[in-house]
Amino acid sequence: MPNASDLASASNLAYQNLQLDSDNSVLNSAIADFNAAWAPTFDATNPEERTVLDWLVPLAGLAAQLGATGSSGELSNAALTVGRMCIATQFAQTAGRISAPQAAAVLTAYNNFIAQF
Amino acid sequence: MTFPQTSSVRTTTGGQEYWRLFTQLESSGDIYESDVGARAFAIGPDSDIARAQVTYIDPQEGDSVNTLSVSIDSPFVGRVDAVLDQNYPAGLPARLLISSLDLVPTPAFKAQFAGDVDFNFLQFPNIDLIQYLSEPPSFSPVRTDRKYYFLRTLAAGANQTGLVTVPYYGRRRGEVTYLFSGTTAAATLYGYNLNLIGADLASPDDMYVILQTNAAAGSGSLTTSGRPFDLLVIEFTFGASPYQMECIITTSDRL
Repeated sequence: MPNASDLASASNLAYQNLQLDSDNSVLNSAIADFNAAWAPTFDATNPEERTVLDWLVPLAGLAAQLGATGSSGELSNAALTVGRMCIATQFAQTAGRISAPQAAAVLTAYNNFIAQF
Repeated sequence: MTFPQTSSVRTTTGGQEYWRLFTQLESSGDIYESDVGARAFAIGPDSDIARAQVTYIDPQEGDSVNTLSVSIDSPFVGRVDAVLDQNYPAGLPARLLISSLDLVPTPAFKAQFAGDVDFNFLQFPNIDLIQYLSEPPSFSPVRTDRKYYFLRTLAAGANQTGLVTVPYYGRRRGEVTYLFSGTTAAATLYGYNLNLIGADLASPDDMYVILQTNAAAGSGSLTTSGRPFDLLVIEFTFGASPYQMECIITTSDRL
């Protein structure tokens, strides 16, 4: 799967990419690695940045609950959560709540781990 | 999303028995925080969306992350704590996190309508979630009726097209009446289901059906009932030289 060129594309491609992660038995670790890569670039004490960072909680919940592969229902739920997080990042950057490097860090983490195959 | 959001803590210190998250949604990624615990959650009367999700830390599950869903017909009654001196496994304080389960159209939403659209009215949805801080009263599982008014003065010219899009989210009835000067106009009513995870990069919002088509001179109306769509979209195509168009849309949870 080609890398996502922007966060909207990343959202749209989430299901397909996570399905490939599942096919390669790395579904939960892909999400966990994604979280570990983007979250440190955000400040938890800044309420503006938490409009993105709060998505770390449901994403971390997914990483803990999912196995290395997932059912179609689990994939759908995971893709919607990853997709919403990408959309949140896109809108937060547009609104000036987060910086361009922070948004870029999310996209890079997505391409490195969610879209790794 | 509206930022900064309303404060749940201020509501508590003011002695109110509920906190209301009422704001227009900007995107499917909007997420909101509540710093106080709840005794119940319900969709409020002024909500456009029909379903919301609350993420919380669950002591019954070894303090792991859990979620609960609330919809028009299914409020949640039970104690859900915000535990600010405890962290989620992700390291963030264990606030309650609220998001819409229903999807929100993108600002560029015009779906399959190729080419130029002369006007494109897009009404973004509101979320109205009531968090009860004490024992809740009985619930009335309906949203209030919504009425949208649109008026457009068009430049002279033939074959202009326009879109009017309003939230629907499982309402039971929608009615569109329209009035225009000039010659014949055609109106088509679409029901849309939004899809965030589309395979087609160019148009992810492509899950629609045509509900009704009408061509009339001067005025007309379109209706739908009992169809669970996210959005109602009305496409107008005008003949020669229409100068003004009025459109009123009513959506209701009652048949």
